[in-house]
Amino acid sequence: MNRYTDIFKIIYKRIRALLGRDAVIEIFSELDLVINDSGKIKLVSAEHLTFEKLDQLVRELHRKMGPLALLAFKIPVKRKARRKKLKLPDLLL
Amino acid sequence: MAEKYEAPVELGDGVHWVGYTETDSVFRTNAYIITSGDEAALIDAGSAVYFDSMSKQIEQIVDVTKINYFIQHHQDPDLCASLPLWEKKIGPRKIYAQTKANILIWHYGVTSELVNVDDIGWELKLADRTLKFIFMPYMHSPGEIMTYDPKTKILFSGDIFGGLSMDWNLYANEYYMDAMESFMENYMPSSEIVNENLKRIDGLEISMICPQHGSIILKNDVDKAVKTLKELECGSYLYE
Repeated sequence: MNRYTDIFKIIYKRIRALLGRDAVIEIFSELDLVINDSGKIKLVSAEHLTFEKLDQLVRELHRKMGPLALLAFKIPVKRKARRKKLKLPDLLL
Repeated sequence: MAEKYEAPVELGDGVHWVGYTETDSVFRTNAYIITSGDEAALIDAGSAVYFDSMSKQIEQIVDVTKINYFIQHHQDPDLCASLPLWEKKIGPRKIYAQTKANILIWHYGVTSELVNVDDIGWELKLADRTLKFIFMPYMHSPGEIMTYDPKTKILFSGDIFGGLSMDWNLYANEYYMDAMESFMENYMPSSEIVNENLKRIDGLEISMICPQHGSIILKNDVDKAVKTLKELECGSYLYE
């Protein structure tokens, strides 16, 4: 499993709760991060869940929603990244 | 898309939700009113920004001059900034809060009598029920309280069990535990404090939890919400 997969999962769950299912699908779809598999939405395969994609996603959420969007997931993402020794986008530091 | 409510919603005998509805906000605020006999208690009077819409909602339930009690779960402006506006509209009343909250509520320039619930036995007797106040220190304020209504079994929880959501629903949906975690982990000081305080509601029969932010948690989800909060890594764990 890609080391960033868990972080994308956290962000997906938290943004879904913050903005609603349709909005999170729209945002993640724009960045080619989800696929619609027989009506079931899921994240794309692990090899695409890279640091660069994460940086792109975080910047897009910040551009659309401001810092409040990041508030919804920043703590568990930072905790997960620290435990897995993963680099994070500047906006999450 | 957030739900819109143009009118108060009855939650139980004499209890109504009277939150505001007109804007999208992550920090949506709820307020609740209890009518009892010929008087009423307003729980978390709310933001000054939404005073007009909330007071119009309340007027659909009760003559606002019947409000004799403001119950404030802590001192923050999203709960208390409307108090001076209420006083201007209906005159000074009684503000019920824990001592450490009332010390700060005074700074809003209120003229109502400040009643420290810790000095009067942690309860407020109304005509048809006696509200019980539960001390929840440091969640997130040192003088935090919750209010339990034994008549309806409703727990008014202030910030505790609150959630962050633009996609707001009056009643918690399947995603609410995530919304609650987002808010709680940002505002609660430590898992130890959360778990120690939650012991105070162990065994309490709860028909629903009514937080000041977020959505109302119905009976079927109460245990899940308590478990989620007990297991949440928050506060000091941020710096591990």
